Amino acid sequence: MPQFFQNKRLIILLVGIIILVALIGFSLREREELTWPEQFIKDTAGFVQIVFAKPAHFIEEIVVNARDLVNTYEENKRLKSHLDNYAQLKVENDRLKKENEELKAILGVTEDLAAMTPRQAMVIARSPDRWNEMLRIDKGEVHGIKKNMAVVTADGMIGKIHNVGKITADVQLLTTDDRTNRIHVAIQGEQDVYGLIEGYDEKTKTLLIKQIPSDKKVEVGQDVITSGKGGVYPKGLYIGKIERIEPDQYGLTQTAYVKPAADFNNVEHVLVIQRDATQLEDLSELEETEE
Amino acid sequence: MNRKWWIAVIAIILFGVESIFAFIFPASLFPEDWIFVPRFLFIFFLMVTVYYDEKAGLLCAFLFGFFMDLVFTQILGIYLFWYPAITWLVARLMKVIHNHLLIMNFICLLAISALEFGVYFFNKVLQITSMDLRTFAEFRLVPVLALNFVFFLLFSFPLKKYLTEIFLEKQEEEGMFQSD
Repeated sequence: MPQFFQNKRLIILLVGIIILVALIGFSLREREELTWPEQFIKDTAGFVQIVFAKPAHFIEEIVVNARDLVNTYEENKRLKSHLDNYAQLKVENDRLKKENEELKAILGVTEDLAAMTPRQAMVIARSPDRWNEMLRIDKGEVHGIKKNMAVVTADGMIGKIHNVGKITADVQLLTTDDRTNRIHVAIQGEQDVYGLIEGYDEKTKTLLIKQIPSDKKVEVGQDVITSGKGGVYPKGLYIGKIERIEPDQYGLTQTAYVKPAADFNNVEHVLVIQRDATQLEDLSELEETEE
Repeated sequence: MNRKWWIAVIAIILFGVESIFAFIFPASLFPEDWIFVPRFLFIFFLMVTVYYDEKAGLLCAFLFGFFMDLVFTQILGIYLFWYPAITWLVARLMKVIHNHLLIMNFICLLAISALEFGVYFFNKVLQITSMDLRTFAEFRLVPVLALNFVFFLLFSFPLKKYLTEIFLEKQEEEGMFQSD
């Protein structure tokens, strides 16, 4: 009899391991959408998280406000000096915008890569084990959020929408080490240089733009923005500044290290950016209908 | 309402606390590279297993491991495996060791280390992280143990008191049925 039980335990163990491997394989697959039980549990968990996050943010804001009161005088002085420039800047901005529109109308350009619709969202949870950097926001499918939309804070871009539930969505940060996490960017100089963000360097805390041809001139301190040419994000989302440039070992290409402008550790309110120009998905849909 | 249902309520509260932990923890007070991971739920399951009922603890560990995977890691099988596996091991271990709170404290820290190593191992195998073992031990394991040790100091006593009470209640009930 004990022999039998030993065997039974062994079989359970083996079956368990097989199921485990199958589950991991299942979830590692590239998936377009989540299955409905997953969605249901996620949304339920999302509801619990919202319940906890709202008061936490509220209390935090009170603390921050109280701290701000102390510096009000200094800040007020500094802001006032900014304000003088601001009016000038605004007038100029309006003028340029108008001029831009007129010129575009003359040229017959109808599509604008930079056109976007922002939506405000609050961060309700962050994965507690910091292995995969995942944020959850309190807006989902019913609010018009779709997969692959860009997510930005006031400082700069932080990531993209990875999964969408009914009332919540997951944000994958730029720092995630994932081969599908590629962004086409423009390095702003006299002439824009284009490249792909390919990964994140943990040690220096910078994003890497690899494979910039070495005859293209890039400099430390130049700004990096999304180019809008990848077909997913709108043009002109700010990412960061170049901190260091390094030639690769054969000298054919160079790698730029970009310091992200946004602080990934302290994210509370974000904007989800929808690209208004034609997207890759729309194009493929068009082709399908044409066929 | 039966008092044992508070286990579920406490578990949900701890789940909520863990998910907003990144906002409420003043990480700026510590060196930037240190990673603090709350394992409050896990500690709670271990205590339920040891002081109340092994089956209830394992069930909780299994369920919430599943939730953690679905909601946070996006890979089914990491916590789904390690939560119940380590809880089960601890349950076996506590059969032979006296379950005094101090010893339990030590066992909990040991179990959390095992969990951290296990999850790190899975992440390494699946190539989700490229962190080396030294960095892991230095910047992750030590802060995590310290943080959860503090949690244990603060909350283990009331939790144990509550769990022992419902354990006695359960025993009384079972005794009642047997005498009938």
